[in-house]
Amino acid sequence: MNKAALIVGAAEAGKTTLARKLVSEHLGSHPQAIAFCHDPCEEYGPTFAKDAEEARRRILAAIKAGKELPRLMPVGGDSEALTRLALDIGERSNRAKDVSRPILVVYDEGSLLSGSGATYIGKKDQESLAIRRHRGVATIYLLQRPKQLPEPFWDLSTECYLFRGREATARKVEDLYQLEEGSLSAITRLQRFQFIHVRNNGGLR
Amino acid sequence: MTGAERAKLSRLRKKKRRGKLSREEQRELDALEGGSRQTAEDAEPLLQPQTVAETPPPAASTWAPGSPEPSSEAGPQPTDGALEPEQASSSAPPAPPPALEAEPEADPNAQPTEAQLEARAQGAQYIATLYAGIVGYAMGRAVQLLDRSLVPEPLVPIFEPLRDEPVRRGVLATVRGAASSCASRFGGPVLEHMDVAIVVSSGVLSAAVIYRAQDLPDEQPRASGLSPGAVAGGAAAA
Repeated sequence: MNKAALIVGAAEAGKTTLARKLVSEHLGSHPQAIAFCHDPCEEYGPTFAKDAEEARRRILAAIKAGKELPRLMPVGGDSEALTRLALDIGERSNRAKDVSRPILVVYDEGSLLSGSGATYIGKKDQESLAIRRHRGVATIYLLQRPKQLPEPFWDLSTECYLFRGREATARKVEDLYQLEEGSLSAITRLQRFQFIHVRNNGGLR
Repeated sequence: MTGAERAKLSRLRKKKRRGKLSREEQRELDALEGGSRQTAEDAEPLLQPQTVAETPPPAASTWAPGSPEPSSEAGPQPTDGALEPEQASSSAPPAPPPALEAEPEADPNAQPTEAQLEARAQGAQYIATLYAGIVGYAMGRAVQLLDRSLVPEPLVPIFEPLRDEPVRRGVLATVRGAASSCASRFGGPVLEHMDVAIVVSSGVLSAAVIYRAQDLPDEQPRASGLSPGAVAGGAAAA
């Protein structure tokens, strides 16, 4: 559960398609895995809750009634509140060496981290990144430009999926992941739904 | 490669792109890249384009949020209260992972076991993540306050270097390296040493000033009146 992935590409390049595939893989990887998608535009399926507070109420109600809920939960509203919910469920369910309920949270580009600005991480976003392994929480962020996320996110990311984009995007990611200049130039020639998968070797080691 | 080496590698590559690399710096760059270079050819297998096909939505399946969660580790048992809104909105720091089990008295001649080595590596990685997050947050807040002119005038020279993106990145790399070394020294997950995190983050500003001072040629006057010697001395005192 160390995944902190970034999906970067121009509009309509295939980012959400890949995110849906990664969600399917996550749910198939463990019988207890669940996924939250911050999904104001209903791109991941019927909305589970209009915001994180409603999702929290539904989960608490299901606990009290002994009922089950869908494993894929698209949620609208504030993304930081969704982060808080995912961390709380992770705190309840998981420990560092015993992740019994892997949790994946997908943030679409429009939702990005309402508590974050250009130069700092919102408190819950930082907490999510810092303790995700010990809460069994993996994250995926979708963005059109690398600068939509501040550098600490890139430093702490495990990998990046690059779709069709501009030369400037290639240079920026090469810089952030300390790759040879020009190694990602191919992204300017990618077709729709094509991507390059790059791991952040300079990340946490 | 240490955090400081990665920061230096990044700085030298930037200078090379601007065409401002001296011969000595070119040699240093070649030496650093010898250990870390990912050439286009080396990366080729990794960077082959892939295609994602539209997949059907995940099959409808359910989970039981109320089911008991198995936990093989010592520590607080999971409770439904963890999801109550009042607790969820608390600003308390995250609970630390379960404490390590008590170890038998250490034999000074004994080699660390594989489990101990793995625990140290995990601890170092965790600590580095936490510190990087804390430091990033602190730096961002400092720049915000500076932009809003909320920083008292005497402190402006300390915060000013943080406006520079390479400085912020360099500080993060330095802190990450220091945090890894710190955790390795203590041996294992060491969240009980959170006070070290506070010390590190309070030292961020000193580190930022040092980093910036190293980047400037000696003959360039310091607007703040700080000389590299004074900066280094101040950092040593911190």
